[in-house]
Amino acid sequence: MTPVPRSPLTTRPLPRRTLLALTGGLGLAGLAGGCAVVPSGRDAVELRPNKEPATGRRTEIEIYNNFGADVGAGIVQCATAFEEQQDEIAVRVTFAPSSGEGTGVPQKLLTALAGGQAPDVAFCDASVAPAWTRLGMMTDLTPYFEADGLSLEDFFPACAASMVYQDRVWSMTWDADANFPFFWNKTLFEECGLDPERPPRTIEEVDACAGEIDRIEGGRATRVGILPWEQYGGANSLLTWGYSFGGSFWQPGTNQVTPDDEHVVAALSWMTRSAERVGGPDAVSVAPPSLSAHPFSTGNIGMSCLVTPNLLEILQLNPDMEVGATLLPYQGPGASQPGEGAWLGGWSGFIPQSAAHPEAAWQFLRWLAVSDEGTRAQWENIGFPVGYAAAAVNQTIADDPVAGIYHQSLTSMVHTRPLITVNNFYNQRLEEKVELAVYGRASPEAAMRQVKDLTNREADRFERVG
Amino acid sequence: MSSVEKTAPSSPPAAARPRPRPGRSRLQRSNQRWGLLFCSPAILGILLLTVYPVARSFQQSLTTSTMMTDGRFVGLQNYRDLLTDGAFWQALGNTVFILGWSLPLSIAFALVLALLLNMRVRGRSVYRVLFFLPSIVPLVASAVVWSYVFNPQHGVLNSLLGTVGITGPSWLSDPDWAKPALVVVAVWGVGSLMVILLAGVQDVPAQLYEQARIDGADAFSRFRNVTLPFMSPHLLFALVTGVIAGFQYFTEVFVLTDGTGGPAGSTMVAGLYLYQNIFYFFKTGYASAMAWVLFLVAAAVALVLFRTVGRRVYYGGS
Repeated sequence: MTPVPRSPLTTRPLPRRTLLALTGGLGLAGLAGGCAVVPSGRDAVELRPNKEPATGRRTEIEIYNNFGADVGAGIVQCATAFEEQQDEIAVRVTFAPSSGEGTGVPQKLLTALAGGQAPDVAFCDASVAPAWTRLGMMTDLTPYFEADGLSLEDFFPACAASMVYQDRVWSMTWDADANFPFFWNKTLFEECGLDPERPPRTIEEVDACAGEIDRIEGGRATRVGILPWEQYGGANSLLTWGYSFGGSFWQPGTNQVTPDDEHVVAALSWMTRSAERVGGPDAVSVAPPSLSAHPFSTGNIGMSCLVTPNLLEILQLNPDMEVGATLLPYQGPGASQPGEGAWLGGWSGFIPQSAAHPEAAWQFLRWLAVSDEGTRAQWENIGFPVGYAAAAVNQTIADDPVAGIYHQSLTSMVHTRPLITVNNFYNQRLEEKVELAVYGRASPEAAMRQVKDLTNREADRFERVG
Repeated sequence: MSSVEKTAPSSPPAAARPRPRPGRSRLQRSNQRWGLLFCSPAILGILLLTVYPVARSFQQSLTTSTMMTDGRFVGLQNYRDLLTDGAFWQALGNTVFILGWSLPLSIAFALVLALLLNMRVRGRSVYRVLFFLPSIVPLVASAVVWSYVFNPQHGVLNSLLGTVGITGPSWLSDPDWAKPALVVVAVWGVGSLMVILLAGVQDVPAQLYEQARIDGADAFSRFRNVTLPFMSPHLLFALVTGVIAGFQYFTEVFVLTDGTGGPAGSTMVAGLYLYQNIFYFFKTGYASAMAWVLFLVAAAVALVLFRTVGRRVYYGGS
């Protein structure tokens, strides 16, 4: 049997060649579409988030470093400083980045914990303690704390509150990030006919200022007064404004949440109205897509909450931009003064339950979070406000022209993230439902009722099965 | 005869004699042992890295295990809970939406490209490389680039739409357009499928085209009655593997939405919800049950495809 010949190639000259070329060209255009990355202003290549331990020490501990870029490099510098100040303990810093939005998911840490290969020191948001202690992931620091004569009264109140769960100390706050002070672009204020030296004190005044700044062009908001739903994610935004309206998010001492609190709902309603004013969240287009810095750096946003690294970056990228800093505006009748809405973010250190060298780990943790040398090293190398109120470096931080406002927010701060066993679940549901409301897919009341029902049901499940 | 029987050498009865096993000489048995020894790394790998995790996942799906604890046996409770978990069904709906649009479009796009690239045109190799390139770009890298492309104001997509007078949507920032945006990303990466289909096109017997032409068949008829039947095995393969991959969809949406599944939950697909249940909520048992449900759904869809589309596939011969 004669083999069946393969099809010969078509020989006709084709206009389809044009079609191919056009399709290929479009593909290339798509690839090249966003290739110009706007730099953040730092040379990321020179910054290393990991280090080998010093040699010749009796004990070697390992730290998991969640951070990249300059904060990650700052952790390494702190570890080096610790090694220089004593000769017993060497520190290995391993880069273990989190993924996802916000504080993210520390996948490497979690899998190491699950596999019984935990580092000696790891970092977390202090609010994970209720869940993580129940799952046996954290070492009780109370004996160390008491043996060294430390007192919770020496920490800022919000830090002390978040370090403790069920009367035991589980973590040490070394980064007391105040979420948030409030910043305004003085240059833009002046451009829009507003008094650049007079920041808003209340939410009503924020609205009035925003009304003068908003600019809609071709259906898109290319300049905005404020994006209240974009303060580091929907959940963080609602925490910020919910507290600023005088709301509460959970019943302390229980795992029951209260996102349907009237002041929280009022805050979400305000966020929703703000989005409507600029044509919806999807109509906002104030920054190029490749911008790796905070969009406030574009000069197209009038007011915003900012964390310290973003503020420093913005000032570095825009030396001509005049930025004002003040306490977070508030809204009566629930709240009564500026700064009342601030809550504790930041990072704490803990010792995993399966850590190989808990004693040495405690030495490092104590040095970083409490000692004069460690807190100063943290401030100088990383630049976060410290959680230990008795640390000498606080005076320097208070006097700093940039960080002073964070310190001021911290001293009067009383709020924390919800300290409940299902905090992650609560956060995720808030993230989703806040967006639903802001996009007009659900009323603020209905969205928050859903969050309440789902989270309380999850909390009950957690109590049952752990 | 009897003397012969008496004088016959005494030998054991046939039944008592050791009988070599049919087809298994000593050499063969030795070869088998060596073969097993040489295969043992692969066998061990399969046992440890595939069979054990699969079995463990099923065992966990019947428990309340977390990442850190083994939990306790709860039978089918996790599966029952899934039935009333609105977020899971929403995620499954999003998955099916993306799959339902991206799979047919990807196959159609890959088929068109394969047909075009089968023609003799100048620079054909360059075009082949060009269209194959997206499939070798790492998913994370391409997703980051797509996030730039989809930017409402500065992205190249809306700029192109703007040149023909169309105001583009906000894509990933708009709950109504976020899923279509993910479909576009999926269709973009059809390079591998295109190569498979190109091989299929080249397998079509040329004489059939010639006979069809002699019979007066136009281009569409030749495609419909000659090309398609010969390519049907390839298309079935594309369909089945596409369905399986669709239910595993994760990386692009994770990168493009920072793991949130936003905006407003519009891109929360089943794979991402499963991931959140493990790493955010530590519900390993529940997530394992979810994985098994996804497996069963994908297997059921594949089975239906084999039973329906598979019957219409032409494998050559009569």
